[in-house]
Formats: sequence, C-alpha cells, structure tokens
Amino acid sequence: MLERNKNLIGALLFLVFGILGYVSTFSFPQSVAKIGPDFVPKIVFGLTIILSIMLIVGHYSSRKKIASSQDKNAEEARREVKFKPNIILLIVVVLLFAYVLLLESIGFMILTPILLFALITLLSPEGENKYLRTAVISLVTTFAVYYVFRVFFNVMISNGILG
Amino acid sequence: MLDMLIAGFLSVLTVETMFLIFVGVFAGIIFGSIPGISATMGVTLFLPLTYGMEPIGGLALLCAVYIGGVSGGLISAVLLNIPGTPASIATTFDGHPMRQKGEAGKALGIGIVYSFLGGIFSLIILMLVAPSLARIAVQFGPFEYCAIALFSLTMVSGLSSGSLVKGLLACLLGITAAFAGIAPVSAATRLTFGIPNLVGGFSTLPVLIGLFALPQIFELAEKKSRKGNLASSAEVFTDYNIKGFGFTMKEFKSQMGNMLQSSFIGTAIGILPGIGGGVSNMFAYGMAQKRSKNPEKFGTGIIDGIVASESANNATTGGALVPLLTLGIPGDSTTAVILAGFTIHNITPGPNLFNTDGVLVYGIFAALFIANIFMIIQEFMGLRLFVKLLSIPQHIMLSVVFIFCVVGTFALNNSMFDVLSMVIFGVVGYILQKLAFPLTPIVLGFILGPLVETNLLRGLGLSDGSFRPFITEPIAAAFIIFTVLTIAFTTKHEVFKKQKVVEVSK
Repeated sequence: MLERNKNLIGALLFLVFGILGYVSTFSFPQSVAKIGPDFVPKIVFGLTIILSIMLIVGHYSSRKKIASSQDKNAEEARREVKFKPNIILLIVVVLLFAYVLLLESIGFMILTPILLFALITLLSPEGENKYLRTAVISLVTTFAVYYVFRVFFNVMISNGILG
Repeated sequence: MLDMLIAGFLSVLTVETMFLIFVGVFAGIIFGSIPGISATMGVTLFLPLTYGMEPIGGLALLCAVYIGGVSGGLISAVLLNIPGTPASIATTFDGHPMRQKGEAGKALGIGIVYSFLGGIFSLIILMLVAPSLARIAVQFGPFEYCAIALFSLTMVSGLSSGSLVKGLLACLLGITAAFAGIAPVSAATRLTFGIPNLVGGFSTLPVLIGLFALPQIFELAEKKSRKGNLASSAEVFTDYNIKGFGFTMKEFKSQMGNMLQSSFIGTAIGILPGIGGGVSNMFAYGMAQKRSKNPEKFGTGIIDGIVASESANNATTGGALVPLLTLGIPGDSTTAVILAGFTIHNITPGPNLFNTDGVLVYGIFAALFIANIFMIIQEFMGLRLFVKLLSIPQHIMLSVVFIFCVVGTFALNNSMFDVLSMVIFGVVGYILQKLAFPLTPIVLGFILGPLVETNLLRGLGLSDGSFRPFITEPIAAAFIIFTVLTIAFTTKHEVFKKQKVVEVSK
C-alpha cells in the first residue's frame, strides 16, 4: 500500500469513528453540573474529526503536487493495487478468535494443543516444518502453562468438557 | 536519604526478590536479543505474573526484565547484524564490522560493560533527581497535572511516528478507549453499549498485551502469505571468544569522556516523554562521531561506536523512570507497562509515593542496581546460552507467546471478556500499524486520558469553569507553552521534510 493511500484509508476510518463518537455523546447521561461527563469526550471526538479532515486534505494536496511531476510513483501505485488477500493472515485471525470464544466451553487442555499445532504449522517456513516436533512443543507448552498458572498462581483456567 | 536507601536495599535482599530479579534479567535478555520481540513486549508478558506477588517483588521483576531487555539487544546486533530491539540499532554500525574483523568477542565485551556503566550512571541520576523533583511535584494541583499530561501526550504523538496528525489521532483513540465505563468526577456511565462487562471500563492489561504482543503474530502471518516462504532463521555466528572484558585499561580510559557524554544524553532523552532508547542510541552515536578526532573511522568497527550506543540506551532506563516515579506519568511504552504494574497493586506512583511508600521507591532503586549487576554477570557467564536461544524460530516463539497472553490476561479478573478485548485490541493495533499509525500514543492516551479528564474537571470545578489558571499558574502555563512549541516545531519539521520530498521528486 502506498504511504499516501494509507493516510486516506486511516483518515476515513477515524472520521467515521469521530462522527459516530460525537453523536453518541448526546445520549450520555446528563448531570446537573455545567461540565458533565460529555465535556471531554466532545472535545476528543471533535478533535478526531478535525484531524482526520486535515489528513484527508493533506492527502489530496500532496497528491496533486507530486502526481504532476512523477510517473514513478504512479507505476508503484499500480503495482500496489494488485493487493493479494492474505489467506494465512485471515486464517490466523479467525483461529485466534475461535480459540478465545470456544475456550470456556471446550476447555484449555483440549483446545490449546490444537491451536498451537495449527499456529506453528501455519506460520512455519515451508519445508522446515517438523510435525512431530510441533506436536511435542504444543503438548509440553500446554501442560507447562496450565501447571504454572494453576499451581503457582491459582488461576482457574477453564476445564471445559473435561469438567 | 541514606536510611531510606538502606531500608530499600534490605527490602529487596530476600531470597525471593533476588530470585525474581535474577529470572527477570535472564528473561529480559532473551526477549531483548530475539529480533522481533521487544523489551516492552517482554515486560508486558511478565505483568500478569506479578498479581499474586508482594508489590516490591513484582516491581523488581518488571524492572529487571526492562534492564535485561534493553541490554540484550546488543547480542543480536553484534552477532546477527540485526538489532534485537530498536535501542541497539547504532550498535550494529560498529559491532558488525568488528565481528567481520574477528573481534566479535571484544565487541560483545565492550557492549556489556558499557551497558552496565550507562545503566548505573542513569540510576545515580535517578536517585539524585527523583526525590527533589517529587518534593516540588507534591505541590502540583489539577491544572499542573493536566498541563504536564497534555505535554507528554503531544510529545509522544509528535515523535513516535513521522506524522504529528497521525500520532495525535492514535492518541485520541487511546483516550476514547478509556472513556468506556464510569466517568470520573460525575460517576456517570457512558459508552458501555449495554455490555455489563464494560461498566468497569477496559482493563489496562488487555489493551497493553493486545497492542504490544499480538500485532507481531499477525505480522508474521502476513509475511508468510505474501512471500509464501520465509527465509529460514538467520545464521548465528558463534566465532566469538571473550577474554576478560575484551578490552584494555588504556582503551577504557580513552572512552571515559565518550561514556559520560553518551550516558548523559541517554538519561536526558529518557526523562523527556515520547522518546526513548530507540532515539538515544542513534543520537549518542551521532554526537560521539561529531566530537571524535577521527570521525571517519566510525562505522569501520571501532569501539567508540559501541560505547556510545550501548551506554546511551541503557542510560535511558533510569531517565525514563524519573517522570514515572515523581509524577506518575510514563514517558514511553515500557514505563507505561511498569505503571500498570503499580496500579495492579493499587499503588499510584507520583510525588506522594516518596512519603507514603518511601521504602518501596528506594527498594525499586536497589532492585535496579542489583538488576544491572545481574545483567553484566549473566551476559558474560551465559553468553553461549543466549546465543543458542537466538536460534529459536519466531513462529514457535510467537505461538507460545499467544497462549501466555491469553492465560495472563485471563488471570487478572478471571474474565473471558478481558481476553476477547485483548484479541480485538490486537487486531485494531495491527490494522493501524499497517496504515502507518504509531501504537505507543494509543497506550499513553489510554493511560493518561483519565488523568487529564479527572484533573481538568476537578480544576474547572475549583475555578468555577474558568480556564484562566492554565495561563496564570506558572508551572501549568510553562507546560502549555511547551505543548504549543512541540506542535509548532514538529509541524514545521514535517512541512520542511515534505517540501524536500516534493523537490527531490521533481
């Protein structure tokens, strides 16, 4: 992604965020005090809107200046357009969410080795993955973490279906 | 002061605390030396372990990881030519050429010794400056605190990325995240979206872990799918040999001035909010080169470069703790994590801490001192081990780190909501990082936002809604002026840089 396009996307995200936030402050509980709980949030969301507009304006003004004099950037931009979806990244994100959401019902001791094995396999450089080693690491880590937190720190990690 | 110092030392001279410092330094060196895992991340991962500990034990552990982490970066800087953390970028400039000349052992020895000296230098400054600064800061009212916090936030936003606007936006996002829950002063509930878990607001820990640890995992996944194949772990050079400290007494004497100058730069930069070890080592390197009689030799593998970089980055540690301990305001990401370590134990760092918990403060000084000693011993004795650990592949390390993140976050409140918000903050942090927004201002906004709001509302309550004290109170006014100057200078700097880019491209 080109540096300036990053700014535009980021600015638009923040603009939407700022507007939604600002609107939401009107439904804040009112207090008798002149300066209530919506005072600082209004300033913060207001600033967010102003700064993201500044970023958008900056994006278009600098694009005009550079576009006229430069072809190299355009070429670079074209190359950047061919944005390949990151399948592995997507799988990793889904995996992490699934793990966290299912942890309580299925249980740490069952889910953790599965997640670790999947993560390590997904992230390992090609041709370098040793499945047996990965399996051992997954199991040892699970037991070690469980033991350390349960015994030393008294953290009640969910046992899930193992009860 | 002396009696407090003795009491402080006595409080850490227990088997348990000494053990924690030892382990902390050890783990810190590992985190610091492995590229892609920062000292901040190391300290964050240790945070959950400190819940059940005595305050002094937990804080000593966190400080020890910090000291080890900043120093550990030099190992990979010399042996891999990759800085383990941004704090040792300048170490590679001369460290790598020295290794190529077959002087890896000497480079490591010098790096280790001067890390130690820089750390001790800044610790002495910390001990001299902090108590008197705290005595002044005790008198600060809400307007002063508000102004100082605003100044810190502006500095961090302006300096942690190339763009002040983007830094400020990130900072505002952090402040917004802290809005959720019960508002200060009025105690009204806001931005909870009907989620009962949000009434208490987001806990600090999920925010810190999510932002500092998770993006690294996503980064690795993205690299993998972009390239299809990652280069297998870099080759570690093991052709080093340390005899003694690796350098002569004459060399030591000749580096005295360089060491003092670099340590001073490191400490001063550490005290300023917003910039830390990542800047100080480069700055000290540049200054050492400028003042040297033969600047052309820098970068060819001379010890001056390593001395400058390593004494400066370790000197940053003591400096960074000055605003944290005296004002309760963290200046960078790592001290923000250490602040969370205080709040977990219901201790608020700040000027009053010197009165209410003096022994704890001096205990922390003592722990820092001992951590520096452990650091130099462990790095000399255990170098072979650390070098071996360098070859742990990132994909295994980060996968295991994720499990630690989950369990550690859960441990705070036994709440899966915290864990879920940790992952969400991780995803948000990763997206923003991809869009070239800095993450440190988010964390500092999250931590300092409530401080600004509370003090602002309190101050306005005292002044009947008038903003005048911001101008009439000298200290508050000074920091407001600093804030405005920071904005003016960074904006000017950015515009200047942009014009240059446009000119070059024409």
